Amino acid sequence: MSTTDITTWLIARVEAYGTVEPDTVATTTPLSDLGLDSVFALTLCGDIEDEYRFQIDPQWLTEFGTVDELAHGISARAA
Amino acid sequence: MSSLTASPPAPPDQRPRTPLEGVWWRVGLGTPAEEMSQSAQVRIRLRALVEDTGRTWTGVRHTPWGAPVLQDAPVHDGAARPGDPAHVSLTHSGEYLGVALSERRRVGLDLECAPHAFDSPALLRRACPEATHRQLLTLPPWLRHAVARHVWTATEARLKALGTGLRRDPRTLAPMPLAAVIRGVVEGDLEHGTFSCCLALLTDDGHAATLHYLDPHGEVLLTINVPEAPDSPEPATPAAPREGLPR
Repeated sequence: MSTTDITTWLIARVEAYGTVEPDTVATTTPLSDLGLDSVFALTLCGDIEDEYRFQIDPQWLTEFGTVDELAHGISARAA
Repeated sequence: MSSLTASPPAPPDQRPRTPLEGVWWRVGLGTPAEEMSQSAQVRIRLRALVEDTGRTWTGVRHTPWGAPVLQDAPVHDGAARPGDPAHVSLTHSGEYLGVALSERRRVGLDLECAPHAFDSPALLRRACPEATHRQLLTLPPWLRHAVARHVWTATEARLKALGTGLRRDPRTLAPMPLAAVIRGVVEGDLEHGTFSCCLALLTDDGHAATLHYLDPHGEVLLTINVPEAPDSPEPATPAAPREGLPR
């Protein structure tokens, strides 16, 4: 899968959580601007596990600064 | 963590509640986030609570695990411990804010106002022990949603009291008895729209917790006792959390 596909998926998931306004998230958007509190951080971990078939914990998300960086991280783990 | 320079008086409905010896808390509506960040608001509320209990405000900082402690509390590599001067906990969700201070027992306060988060199977699977998850799946959807919200709120309060937050996997906690929560939801005692709030207090030895569910004004609705396992594996080196992501 391409990093672009992962980025598109990530943005769609976050928009579905309702923590950001639709069409306001870009690849360069900082993860800290996504409004992901503990509930949605844990939800995103579960969604990533379901979609890409590897286990992560919320702490792993803090290793990335932007949506694009997280997409690259997912791509590397899923490879 | 910067110190605060202002401490507005608490509204009448947010006076400290003290039905539990040595424990104070405030829960209530904040001002819109556009006017002041919720993080700033909870620090202001905590300062007021600290001063209302006769203490001098020296500020708040976070342990390497992300748990808030008063500035003059001793430094530990994890949670606050029995014998520390005072334990504190902060929370906000939606327009609601909560702060708690405990003289002796470790405390965790959490509130949730997320209306739809608890419909997610991915969240339910990650948010509680497997036995609890299996029980939740046996409930009809309308009941499962509300019970899951209350279970999660208690779970996060427990993780805060333990001092780890989400650095400890919620699935490693001892399962909490669901019967009282289910009864509270069915009979309406626990239901305040999408609001859920829980104050967790650890026993001195850390092997049990008392969970107090609160209403939007901070009144105790329901109390549940749960076993606790305080010595679960933790990551060897806590990474510095990025600002804005959950601790």
